[in-house]
Amino acid sequence: MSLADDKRPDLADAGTEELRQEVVRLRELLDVAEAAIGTLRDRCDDVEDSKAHLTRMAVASARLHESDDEGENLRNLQDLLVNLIGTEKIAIWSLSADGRTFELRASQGIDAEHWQRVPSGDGLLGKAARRGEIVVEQEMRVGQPVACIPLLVGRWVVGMVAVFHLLPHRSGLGPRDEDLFRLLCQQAGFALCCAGDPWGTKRKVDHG
Amino acid sequence: MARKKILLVDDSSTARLLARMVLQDSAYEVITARDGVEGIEKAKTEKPDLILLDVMMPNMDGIEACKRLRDEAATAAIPIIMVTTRGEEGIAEASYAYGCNEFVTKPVDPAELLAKVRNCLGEWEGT
Repeated sequence: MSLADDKRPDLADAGTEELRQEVVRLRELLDVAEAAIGTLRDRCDDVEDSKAHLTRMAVASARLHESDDEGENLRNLQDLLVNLIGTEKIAIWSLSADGRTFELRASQGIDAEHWQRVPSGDGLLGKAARRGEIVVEQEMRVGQPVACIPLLVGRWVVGMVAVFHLLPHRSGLGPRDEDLFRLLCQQAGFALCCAGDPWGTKRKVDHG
Repeated sequence: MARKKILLVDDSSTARLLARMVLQDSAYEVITARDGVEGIEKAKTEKPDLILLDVMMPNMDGIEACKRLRDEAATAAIPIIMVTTRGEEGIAEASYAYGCNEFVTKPVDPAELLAKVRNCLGEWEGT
């Protein structure tokens, strides 16, 4: 065996070890890169989700202020509840002249006669009216609202929206839905007041 | 490259505005119709690359419109995505039986809508 042949195994071992270490180093780099890609993907999903939410809010705001006709405004309000929230049963009331009763102005999927006039201090509607804030129930109960959205003009409650039931494939309301309800709470009352009576009069409950 | 044209057929102004905002933001050209009858007319004249078809509409519902679009030579090959407030099996099965390619339920999730539109148009992320 020559001297050169003698040295070859050592050189080969050293080369193999060097390559093995390189593989380990590259694997570590790959792990770091994959973790970074995962983080970026999550952030992209968050951005897409926020963008989708803002688009829904922009659509709702645009539709609420599309008309100065009460009937059209009420139809728009129902349409956006169906298409942006996924509601199946809803009611919209204005407040009576003496402020004691909510009077039904539009509804979908409910017993309209039963809900025609509702005392403004009763139940979930009363709670939402007194607070001037949306009230959301965690569980759906048959015949009862799952969410009440007071319609405000400044600090005055001029009407109320109640969501009684969601579409079957919607399991419940989430924070995004509540954001949309807050937008309705702040803007729908103004939009309806622009339509005049019975919304544009002084019949308001002061919740402040 | 020419923008892909999408025909949006829905009687709800809210649904049309939402889909228009989502799709135009992704560089699609969007044209609209308010019911099945108008939708079929526009499909023939505008030759869209894809049709978004609501199920519940006045004059002619989405399932009947889907059937007629498939029966017409000029529109038979256009991909159709059905859009509905209800995801019941009966409606989905009827829609697929009449030749729709995809299905989305309201309230429409913009990300899901875009993914299905891209899939039907043979587009993928990054292309």
